[in-house]
Amino acid sequence: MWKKVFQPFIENPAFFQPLRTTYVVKRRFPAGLVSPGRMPSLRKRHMIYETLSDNQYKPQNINILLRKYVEDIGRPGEVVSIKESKGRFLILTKMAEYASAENVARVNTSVDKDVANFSSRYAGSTVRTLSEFVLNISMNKENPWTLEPWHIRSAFRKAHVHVPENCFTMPSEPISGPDMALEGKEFFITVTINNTEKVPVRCRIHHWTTQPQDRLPPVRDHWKFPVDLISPKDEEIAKLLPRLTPPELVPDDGPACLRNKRKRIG
Amino acid sequence: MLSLLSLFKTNRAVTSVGNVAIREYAARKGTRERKLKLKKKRKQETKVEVPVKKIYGREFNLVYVKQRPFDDSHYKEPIDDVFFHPRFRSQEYSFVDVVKFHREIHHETVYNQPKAPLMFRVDIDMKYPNRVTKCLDPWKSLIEMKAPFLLEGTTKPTVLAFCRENAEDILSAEQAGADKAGGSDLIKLVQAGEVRTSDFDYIVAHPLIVTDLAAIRGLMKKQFPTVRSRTIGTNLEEIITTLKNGIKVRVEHSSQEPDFGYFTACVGMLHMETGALEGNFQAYMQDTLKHRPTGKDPNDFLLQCHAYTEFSFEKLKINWRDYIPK
Repeated sequence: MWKKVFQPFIENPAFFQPLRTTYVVKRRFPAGLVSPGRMPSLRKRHMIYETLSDNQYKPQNINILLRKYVEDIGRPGEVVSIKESKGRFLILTKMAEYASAENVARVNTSVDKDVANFSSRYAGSTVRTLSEFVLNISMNKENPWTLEPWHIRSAFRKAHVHVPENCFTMPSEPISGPDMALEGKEFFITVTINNTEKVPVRCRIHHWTTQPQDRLPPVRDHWKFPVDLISPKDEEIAKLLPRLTPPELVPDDGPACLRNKRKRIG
Repeated sequence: MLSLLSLFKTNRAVTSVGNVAIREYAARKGTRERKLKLKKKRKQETKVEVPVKKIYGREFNLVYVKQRPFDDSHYKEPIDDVFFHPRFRSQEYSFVDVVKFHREIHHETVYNQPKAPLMFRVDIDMKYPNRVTKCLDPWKSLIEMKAPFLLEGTTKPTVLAFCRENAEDILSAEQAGADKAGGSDLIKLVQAGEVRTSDFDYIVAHPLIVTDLAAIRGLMKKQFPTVRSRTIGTNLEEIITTLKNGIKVRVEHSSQEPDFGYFTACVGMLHMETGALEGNFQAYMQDTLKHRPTGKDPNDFLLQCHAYTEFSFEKLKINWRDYIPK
């Protein structure tokens, strides 16, 4: 419902900011010539105009020169073309400069080496998201197995992350099952991006069967809660990663559709 | 009083003109029927209209959701070796890789479904080139598999063949896979009721015997072999093998969205050889690309093609451009 209410506001930016448009107009009945220093005597008919063009303002891209690493935009010393509004914001906050020839020559020689830098423009955000990421590796509950690299690769692909096999290292001790002591517990693998950035990633093993009656009961939002480690040696790696902040526990009132109905009544 | 009236009526009904009796009630029969009809009509007209059930809740907001896939060609291409898929243009894999990836997930150590059937869906643009309103009609086709397979709980279709009355022809038809084959003797058996045509999925005939088949046209009804359905022909062996090893494909299509169609089909089971699966996929691609209108680029005709199974949520895009016939 709210979407419907706000639809005209979203579609038409005129509600948010004054219209930045240029109108080129022409008098239908041209005013007569007058001697210099005098105003023309305008009548009612001279106020009728015809629009020749009403060009609405369209935001254009501008080239800027980055001074620091900006996530998903570029590395220091790089010239990128982005939206005007974003570019101006970066220039105001001294993250970037106008990409003039002088500026390019000056900055390329004197970019600080100590500035935080990544191997590519997207590497920074992938490092950040992978450090908060929990990889679920579902393995069979009945057949015996030992964890292999392709298990982890296919688990990453299932979670919509592209990680080739040569980009991660397996844990030092082999993991084999089915073992209910491993269920829902954590271990770490290290992913390397472009052979430079190294990130440890949380992995949890889940036992799965084909028959629904033999499956383990589902755990709600299990990836939001911290769990025990498989080996105590990994505690040092766990300290490197940002801590998982569990959400506030709310008493379970059944499915969401019913909860809303109850609210409406009482 | 009633009896009097009835007497009166009977008296009036039979009048005598001279010696010939003329009955009036015979003529009144039609009028009674007509009046009854009129009564019924009036009743129908004066029926109380049932108020239309008002729709509340979710059903009220039911709108046709367009099925055309989202075009993400304006998304950026990934430059790293590790990346999150939803942020970038969707990746396409070769058919061999897709089979490999699906086998990994259905492995005995993971999902334990090594014999899962591998399905795929093809999205088709039905527009004619350089036309605004004209669109292709959805089609049906029967595609012969290069490596035939049988899914669990299904059987091969049964075929009844009417051949010329040579022992050789009948033998060859049976060798090709026909469940029953014969000439004019078989027609007599059908007429006697010993052989039922409804027990068979397809009926195939040689053009020379079609004239004799007219005797049992009423028994076969819609099963009667036609040229259009490719069940009449001189090369009966080929026809029988295509019907036996063929898979029916029907393009799904909505009147709400006439410029779009799609179909789903099965390539085979995951435990089959990759070469066999690839051959089957090629047969599907060659058949679909036959239906594209002249002057249309195959890249515009086939929008996308992705493989999936019923056990996993993964949908992997296939690079089908390797299978365009030259």
